[in-house]
Amino acid sequence: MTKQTFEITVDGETRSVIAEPDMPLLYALRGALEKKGPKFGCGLAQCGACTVLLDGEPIRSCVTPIDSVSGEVRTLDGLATDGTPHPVQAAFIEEEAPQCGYCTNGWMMYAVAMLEKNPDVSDQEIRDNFAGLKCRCGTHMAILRATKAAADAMKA
Amino acid sequence: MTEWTGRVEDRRLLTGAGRYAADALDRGTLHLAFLRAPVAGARITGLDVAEAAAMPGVAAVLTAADLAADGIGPIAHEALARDDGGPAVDRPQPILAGDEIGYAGQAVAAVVAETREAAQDAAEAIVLDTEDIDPPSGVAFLRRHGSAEDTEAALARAAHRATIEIEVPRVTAFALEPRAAIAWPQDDGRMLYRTSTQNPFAVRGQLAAQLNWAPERLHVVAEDVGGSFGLKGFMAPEDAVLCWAADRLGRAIAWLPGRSETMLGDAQGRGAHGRVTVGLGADLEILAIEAAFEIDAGAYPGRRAYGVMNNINGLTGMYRVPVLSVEIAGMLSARPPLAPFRGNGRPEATHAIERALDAVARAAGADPVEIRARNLIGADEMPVTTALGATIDCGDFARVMAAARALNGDPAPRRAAAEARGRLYGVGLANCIESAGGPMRQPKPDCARLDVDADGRVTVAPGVMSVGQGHETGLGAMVAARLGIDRSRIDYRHGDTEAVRFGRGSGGSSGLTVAGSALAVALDALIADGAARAADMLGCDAGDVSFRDGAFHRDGSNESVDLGRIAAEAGGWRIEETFTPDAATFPNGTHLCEVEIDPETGRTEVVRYAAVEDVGTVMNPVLVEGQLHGGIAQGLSLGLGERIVHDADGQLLTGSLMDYAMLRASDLPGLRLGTEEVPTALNPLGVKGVGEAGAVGATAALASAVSDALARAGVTDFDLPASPCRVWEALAAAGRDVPDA
Repeated sequence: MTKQTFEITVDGETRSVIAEPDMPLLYALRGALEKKGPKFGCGLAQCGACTVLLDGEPIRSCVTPIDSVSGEVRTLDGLATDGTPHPVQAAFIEEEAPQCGYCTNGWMMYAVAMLEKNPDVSDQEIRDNFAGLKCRCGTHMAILRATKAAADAMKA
Repeated sequence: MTEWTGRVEDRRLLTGAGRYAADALDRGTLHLAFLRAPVAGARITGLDVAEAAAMPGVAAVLTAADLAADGIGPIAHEALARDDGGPAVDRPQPILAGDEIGYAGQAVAAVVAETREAAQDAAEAIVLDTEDIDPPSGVAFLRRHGSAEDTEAALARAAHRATIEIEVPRVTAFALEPRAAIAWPQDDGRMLYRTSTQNPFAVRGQLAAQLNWAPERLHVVAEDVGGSFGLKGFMAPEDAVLCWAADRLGRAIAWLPGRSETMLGDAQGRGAHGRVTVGLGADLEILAIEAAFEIDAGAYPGRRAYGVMNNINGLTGMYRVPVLSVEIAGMLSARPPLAPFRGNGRPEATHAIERALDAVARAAGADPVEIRARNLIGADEMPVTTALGATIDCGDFARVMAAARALNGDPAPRRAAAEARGRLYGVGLANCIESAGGPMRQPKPDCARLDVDADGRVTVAPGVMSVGQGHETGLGAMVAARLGIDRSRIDYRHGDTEAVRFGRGSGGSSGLTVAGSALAVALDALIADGAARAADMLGCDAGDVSFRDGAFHRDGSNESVDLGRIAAEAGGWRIEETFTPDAATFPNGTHLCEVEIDPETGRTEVVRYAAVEDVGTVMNPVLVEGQLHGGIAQGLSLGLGERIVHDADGQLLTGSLMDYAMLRASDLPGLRLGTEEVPTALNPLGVKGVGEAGAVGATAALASAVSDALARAGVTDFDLPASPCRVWEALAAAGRDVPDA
């Protein structure tokens, strides 16, 4: 396959990336676009560590070909504004939710997607929202707590 | 602006600014991919790399022949003498398979190319011919403890006895960050090796020995690590290939494996079968334990297969056990090597004794909780040396057990409610105790370095490194408190073989007990040294100087010298100290687990969980809670569904999360956790270690709960994992009798 130039809007900035059309979005983000928030966890869309938002919806960037991306991409790197953490980040910090921090990107991005649409969520909705995510350090309970706290903050 | 509080490391980890191994990837770095053996138990009859080597972008294709030409042998292993007098087996692990393939997934050749895709494509173009041979089998190592004769005699006069079998499947560590690494030849001839490891010093030492390099030639660095759990504590064959290839080509080379590759190529944890008999006297006192374990030690059993052997002391639990007989046999198999996984033999030992106590309680018609309570070693009996030779220095098991039961509350109403809904309800309890900060018979030292600069900034470099535990927060806070300076004045370095003289890395629940203690010793030394220097500068005796708020004050005056001034005067100020525990510590706990099983589907749901742990002094409650949570979540995950399965030909059947069931957030109930602090005198902090505690108790407590629930439906011989299919099959085999309410 030959390389092409793709215009892609990431965290509010439109950038050009030269890549083969089937290159996963994750590689473009972590490579030329220098967004290290999304992580390579499995490459199989099974763990969620690579999650970014596309027009507000969480997608697995490790299996998303770059030529299929049209819309606004939002990454963990772009959540804070002028050093002020996003309410989800603030809650994860306050609750000391992460341990190794590698999977946390996925949980935060799923939380952001859910809560920006509707912060009025039940505990069960929070759990259901995270059904496809993996954490090996066992931080699940702290993440649920943090997400609840973020929801409360975003409702206020 | 929101103030950043909480863990220090979270400021970078939660903004995408963490520095994991692959985050340092530069443009122009070559990529390495492995050809992995598609079969197990085979002889290589042909390996043709010509086509692969000619493919676009390929810089090199490397095989066992190239290793041999460079004088690099297999990973040496000194076989253990067997306690049964049989032949000790020495099967060194090849770096790349040359003549023989031990297991499917073993690395056979390495391709280095301009891109990862080019390397992978070329690896697939290598032509490998093999013929089947008998897979590895037989006994690799064998260890015995106790007296078979005395045990048999004690069991013969037992009023009650029961025998159980446990099957602890192989599992994969599944750290979310795969074992990524980059080897970078430096201009001065040295090699910078960035890797996702929990023990940079071990990796450096083993790599140096393997490649016949001086250790100083290697600079091993791991900044942030995305989980490890025992897997990443040693050099693996891939590490050696990467450094060797980078040295040969004089180019930086990265290995960034995908999950399919790590499922296949990573060493695996657990993998034990146990048969345990317990005999009780007329007063329900334990008379004897007889146990035999077979370890699925893989094709190349090295030290990393010795988990159950090294941590078997947990088999006597919290109990008085007068006599026992234990045999642990490591069996060769056509499977990948073993690696420690959180607990490393401790959970297996606890699982074995606790299941056996449940079974003997059923045989005696007694309450399993009562049997445990009756046999606990008393706090007034400490220190005590067990029948397996472990000396437990302190503990108050009755207090821990009572606190956990109180925290959990009475399960009877919950059971009644669930059974009224047609569910099977199980209540499980497991007492657990494990050696920490060892090895048990000869604990290893750790080190800590403090550097003070002329501005009074303190750089702390401990020998331990965090792979998620939060040591940067915990140890940083210790320095701030002891020196009376703000945390923002402290820099922290870890995971770097040049930051401190040596380090244990992360492992064996040793972080705070050994490295933390080394840091405490270093802080004391810094203050003592500083007092002497300050006294010189102030023209008084060191005895007339007292230290507070980062400065040495001359008593009875307003004269003082701060840390920075001493460093400026001395032209740099470094203190490095070590700490070696006299003995291992023994964190211990009681875990209670309650499950509901749907007899129609076989689904097991953990509906309540309570645990109380004595991890000695608790220095940071949030970090301790995180470790307990994490350990419990892993222990439950293993018990609920995790299981590596190979078919009869040695092919991996559980190659991704589609087949390998890992816990989700919705599988966990709220965890009720407590601590009872019985500080140890074995280190200056009074801490006992917490990294493994949760995992040691959780699988056993779940097993106890599941067997309680299933026993009520007539299933008497079930063992984990409690996947819906296995539970349903067991219920079907027992006639699926749903108990009367």
